Amino acid sequence: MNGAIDSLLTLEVQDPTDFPPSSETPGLRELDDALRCSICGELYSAPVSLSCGHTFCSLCLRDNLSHKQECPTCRQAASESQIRKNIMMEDAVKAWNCARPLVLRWSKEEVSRKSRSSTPPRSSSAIFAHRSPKKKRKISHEDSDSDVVELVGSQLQKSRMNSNKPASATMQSKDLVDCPLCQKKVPMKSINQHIDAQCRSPTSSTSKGKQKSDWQKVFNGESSTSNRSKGKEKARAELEDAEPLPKVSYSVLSEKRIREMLRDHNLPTTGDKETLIFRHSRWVNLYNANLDGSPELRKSLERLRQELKKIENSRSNGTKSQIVSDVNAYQKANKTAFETLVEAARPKNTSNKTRSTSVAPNSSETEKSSSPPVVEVVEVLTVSAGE
Amino acid sequence: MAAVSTRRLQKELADIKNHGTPTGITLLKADDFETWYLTLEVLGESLYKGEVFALKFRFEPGYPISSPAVQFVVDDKFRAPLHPHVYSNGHICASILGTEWSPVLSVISVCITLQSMLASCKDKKRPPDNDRYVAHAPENPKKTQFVYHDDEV
Ligand SMILES: [Zn+2]
Ligand SMILES: [Zn+2]
Ligand SMILES: [Zn+2]
Repeated sequence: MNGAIDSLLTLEVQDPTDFPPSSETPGLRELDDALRCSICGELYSAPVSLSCGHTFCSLCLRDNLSHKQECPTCRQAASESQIRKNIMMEDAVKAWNCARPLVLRWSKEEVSRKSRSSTPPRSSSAIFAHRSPKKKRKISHEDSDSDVVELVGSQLQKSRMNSNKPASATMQSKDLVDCPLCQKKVPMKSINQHIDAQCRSPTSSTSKGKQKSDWQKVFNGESSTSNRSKGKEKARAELEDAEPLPKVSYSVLSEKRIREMLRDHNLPTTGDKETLIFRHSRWVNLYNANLDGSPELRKSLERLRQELKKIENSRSNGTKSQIVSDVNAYQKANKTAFETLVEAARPKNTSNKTRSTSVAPNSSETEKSSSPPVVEVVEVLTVSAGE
Repeated sequence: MAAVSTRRLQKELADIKNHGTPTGITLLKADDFETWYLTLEVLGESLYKGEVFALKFRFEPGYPISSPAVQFVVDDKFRAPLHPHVYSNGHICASILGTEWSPVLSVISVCITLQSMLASCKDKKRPPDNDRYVAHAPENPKKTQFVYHDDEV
């Protein structure tokens, strides 16, 4: 049962709490957290900073600025023109991506070494029964408030660690990544080939008929009315000095003009005006965010188009449409995992009423050591309610 | 953005699993990445002592960039709290659920905010426009353009 949760969490979700708390391995969780975007929770992809200094994935930020012109973290006024590439952050993330599996293994070995020399190992079946309040209190005296919260995770980590699953098995399964397009597990090494081959397996018919065939034409190159060939396009996208696309005020443009602009980028021109605007504005964000990454990490235009198609499908069909193949198996797997998670969360919660607060994602980014998150969130509400 | 919303919600769920939920908040039901239910209780001294409420969260593929639709559950088991910002149909007039939503917020941080909103309440009453609003309210509270009440929460 716990195996199911663990496989879901370790395979699907990477999180700072993969690492032991700072009481065990100081700084590792904080390091992993510092390299993550607080919008998507992933390690930064093409990180960019605003003039307030807050950093996000370029696409996350651009999509959010299309919604609202402010920094998501500190709410200072912001706009696309403030966006600056954060090249050093990108380098740090690149190195951390590389080192993370190894450091994760080391950190667990370290915890296991420590616990072997002090307490006997715990079985994973008693995952929630082992929260000894005594130990918690002891450690919470040594650490800051936020670590009290994190300790719960640490004990879980330990239990997970000491389960009969060898650490190496976890590492191997971590070499599989989710394909951003088809959501299937793909070996990390071959993800690029997999995507370039359009996920190799046929896609299901989740998208709307007309628009789908239109997208199909785009990928088969039938609709390339523009004069640039794919080869040239690719070279252009990966060119270091490629220019970002300008923002467009769609309200002043005719539907016909928006169709022309889509055609210029070799994109489908079907759908109503709202769909056309959605498609074009997302394309501008995808395209510009791609340019915010270093040239060797950039995606081909072909791949960006596939990502756009994916976004569009999920928009028209709701969250379920993302699963392109093997829908039933995926949902079943998720559902079981969900039920187990809910199950797991319940008894813990009732037996753990004394714990003070949980950490909201924004608090770890903004106010690491000052006020507790409760206060912070409330301030947001009261300030704005007065407007 | 479905992939992003699913991954974000998975992270939030993992966080609930690893860290538990704050006092007075429990995860009631999360069968998929579209609708979650949580219970909310104000512990300690407050006007809502002994009352348990349920919150319904609905997520769009654009979550967390688009805000979740959040409302109190009103059915044969749960009632909406009697509060100047909560309509009797469960809709909530809180700016962080609308114009002041930020994608760095989360399900749990919304729960904490609503919990504090109840905890600090000094006068248990409905919004002045309750009857008018409820009579014409859309099913989804996100379709309402709330004018945020001009007083402290
Ligand atoms: Zn991001
Ligand atoms: Zn900021
Ligand atoms: Zn794929």
